[in-house]
Amino acid sequence: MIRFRPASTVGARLAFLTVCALVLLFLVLPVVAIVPLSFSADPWFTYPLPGWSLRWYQDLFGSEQWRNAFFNSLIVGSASTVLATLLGTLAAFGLAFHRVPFRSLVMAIVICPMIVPVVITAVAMYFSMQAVGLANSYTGIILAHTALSCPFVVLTVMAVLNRFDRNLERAAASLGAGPITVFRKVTFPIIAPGIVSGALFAFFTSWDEVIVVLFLGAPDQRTLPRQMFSGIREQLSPTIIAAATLLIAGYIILGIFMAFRRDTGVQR
Amino acid sequence: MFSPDSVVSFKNVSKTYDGKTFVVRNLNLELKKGEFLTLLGPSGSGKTTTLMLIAGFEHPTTGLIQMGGKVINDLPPSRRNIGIVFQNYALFPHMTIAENVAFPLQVRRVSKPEIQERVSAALVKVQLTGFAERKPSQLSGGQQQRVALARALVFNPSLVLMDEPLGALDRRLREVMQLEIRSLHAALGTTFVYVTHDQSEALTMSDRIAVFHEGAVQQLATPTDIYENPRNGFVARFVGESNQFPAILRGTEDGCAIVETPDGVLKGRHFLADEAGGDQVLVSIRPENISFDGNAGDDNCIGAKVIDRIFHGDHVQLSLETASGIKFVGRSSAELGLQQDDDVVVRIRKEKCIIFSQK
Repeated sequence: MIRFRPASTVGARLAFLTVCALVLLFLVLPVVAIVPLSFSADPWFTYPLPGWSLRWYQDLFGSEQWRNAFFNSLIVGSASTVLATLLGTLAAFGLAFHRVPFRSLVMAIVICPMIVPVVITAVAMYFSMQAVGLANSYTGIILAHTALSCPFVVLTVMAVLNRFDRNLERAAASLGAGPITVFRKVTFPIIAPGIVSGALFAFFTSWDEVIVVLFLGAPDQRTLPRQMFSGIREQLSPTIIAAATLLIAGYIILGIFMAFRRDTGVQR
Repeated sequence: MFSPDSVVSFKNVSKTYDGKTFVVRNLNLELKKGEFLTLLGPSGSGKTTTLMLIAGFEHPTTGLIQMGGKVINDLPPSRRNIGIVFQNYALFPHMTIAENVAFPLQVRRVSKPEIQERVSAALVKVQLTGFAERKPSQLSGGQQQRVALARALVFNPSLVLMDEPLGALDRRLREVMQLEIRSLHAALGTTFVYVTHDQSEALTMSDRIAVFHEGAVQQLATPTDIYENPRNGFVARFVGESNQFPAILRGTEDGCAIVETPDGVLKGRHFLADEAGGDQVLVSIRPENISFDGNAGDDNCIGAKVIDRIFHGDHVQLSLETASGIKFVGRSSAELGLQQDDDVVVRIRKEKCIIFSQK
């Protein structure tokens, strides 16, 4: 089929695409710019690259510190994700489906960790965890990260619940399903994508978090961001860039996977 | 007293949320086995609340709801064996059409082969074979409506409730679905309770109509009876069209009430409570019962002027006004040739002129 377009529309479309491309470039360029540095032969961050090498990747994989940091991040991230998803989903159900006294106040408190500057939260966490003997422990960091990531779960799950048609629950009940079956067969499958994206938000909140870990973590609980942070301060080497490059690659793969899932997955 | 052919009965049921305003007040209603009962009323009249009380999503504040002789005031909806068709269909979006229809059978732990058999039989009944593997979002409104019907019927419920099920469809499709629902009802013999605010829908589909207003049933009768013998001014206004104007009661004679209007005396049937001569009452006349062959001075004849004329194809609608300023609407065939500003004498047969209490 041949479609005719007036010239002015073509021009406008071209301008639109150019602006879009520039904005995307602005977002991505600084990140892309550091990637080649991880393959540099010299420990100096300079362009043009003096030569290519994989020595920083060798460093990274050979280092016990980095390996520990990776596993610490994984442990803290998954534990706080499970907790935050559970608590956040329950809170979202309460706030979205039931009459809650002082609802906006409760909401404000739940969202608090997202709005208060992390440094303040971190200081407060430090003092309170210290008081109950949880400073310098996995439990302390996991609880702190749970508090930080809960708001993301609450907000994403509330968003799907607000769009959820409660008549579906009534329909299911009228068709003979008890409350548990209604949840299992109807409510949960429909809101599951919201819970999954809340959980992803929660995981990456913890995965990226450095300030609370700086306050609460002992050397044993060094997470990846913490390791990078101290790397930058103590011995600035392209190993950090190598680690960063691998993380970026991970994010890209995850992003492609999720985009693919959304395109082919169950659609409403 | 429990009568064997009653499916559900309401005994003095009231429902209030705040203790002051009653959504349903002192309702007594009996659903007869196999009937098509329509709850008709404007929004806020309590018809939907009544439906929700039957379904078990609302619980009565006072009074008893009985089903098969047992009180079911607090029985959860899942144990009432009632099929419900919701206004927005409420199909499960993540399931296919077949899975939607199979849902009530699955929760009842029916065996797999039997589920398959009954689901395909149900889809045949609503003419949706071949759609089994589609998702609800891939179906048109009318098709989704049929799926909702199949799902509500597949488990052989003792009662089927429908909450304005055709509200979202366009007029032509609505008329088709009205006939389909009607013939499904005839074929199945299940009791149907249908909620609507559309009086013509209620008249065409129902065995009996309960007209709701302000939380109470104004009249419960067959469509013909509701239309021909409305019990009060509200029913006459809400079902079909009615011209209504106030008059002064002069007395009764041979079962007829005699009222006086500024333009003359009218005789008519009456549904009066304790009104006496001199009280104000309401005269109610349907447009189609006004004829234009009156003679000045005859009984029940009034002079009027045609102030507007609207052509409707099969008839002409005439806006009329009497000398004293009472306005009313009449219908005539186009052949009668009445034009604007013509003077006419209308005749209202006394059996078609109905006198109500003012309230």
